[in-house]
Amino acid sequence: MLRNPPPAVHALLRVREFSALVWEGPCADWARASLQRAPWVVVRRSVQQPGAWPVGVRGALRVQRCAAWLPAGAAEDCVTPQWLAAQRLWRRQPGRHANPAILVLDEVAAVLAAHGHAGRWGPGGSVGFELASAVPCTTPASDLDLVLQADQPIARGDAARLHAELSKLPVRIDALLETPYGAVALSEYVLAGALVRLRCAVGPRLVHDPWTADRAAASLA
Amino acid sequence: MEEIKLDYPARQAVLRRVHVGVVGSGDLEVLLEPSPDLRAHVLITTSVDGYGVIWKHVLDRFFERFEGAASIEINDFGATPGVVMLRLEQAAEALRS
Repeated sequence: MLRNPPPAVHALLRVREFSALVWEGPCADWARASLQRAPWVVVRRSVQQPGAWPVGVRGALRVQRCAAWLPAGAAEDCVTPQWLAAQRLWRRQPGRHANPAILVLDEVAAVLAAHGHAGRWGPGGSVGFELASAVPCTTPASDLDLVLQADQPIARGDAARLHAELSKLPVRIDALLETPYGAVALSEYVLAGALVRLRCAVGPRLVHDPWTADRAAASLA
Repeated sequence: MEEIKLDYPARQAVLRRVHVGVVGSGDLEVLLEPSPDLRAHVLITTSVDGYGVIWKHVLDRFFERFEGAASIEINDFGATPGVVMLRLEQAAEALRS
């Protein structure tokens, strides 16, 4: 479990120089303030460009998200959700992370390990951001976003059991299965027989099987 | 949290109920069922305030092609317009299949 793997979607990058960021639109005042508080950005799902990472800046509000590109040399650290989980980072400073979405992580780890996913999962969203940056950004009402690397297909029955167990925990959990083609919400994948929304670099698609992405892409959005 | 109501003319009866999408950040669920009259009624509940104009634009575009007399309930959790359109088209497709 490397601390510095090549950045992939959901990875958190520590920015050395804010001025290196190339903004996709106008840079909002809140984005500068947010970067001063916690100089971390999240790798977005986007078509790759050589030499720069597609990143998002988080603000305190859900609507506060700003897209930018970070030149590869301008990142001084990279951590993945999987690394945060493997390190059990939430145990390092007990008392510091007091919100339910973080306190539930030991139980989440036990469920994922019991399903054979140890080492493949980690927290994303505000929980991942808080653990990586050590800057509080969860609230008592925060959901827990989980990222589960699923290079091989997960059978719907297994996924349904995992979903059922995660749903019993006292926090709302939003789990994403990351397949080689994109990401699908666990809660949607377990609905048998339906088309599912696959989040791809080029945008959302409806597919039957997130592990083949229905190669023909007949349901292109 | 904001509620937005939109109405559209319809030409075709809708005969059944469909449910697509999921409750989750960046996503939405769409519940579509026969409407009590010959119009389409849309009720959007969104976690993100202040995007009424964009919602109307997306729904206007959807109803350029969709002619069903449906009551459509949308529960949104911060989806992008592209995802909203994808889910609406998925609901329309589910109605046909």
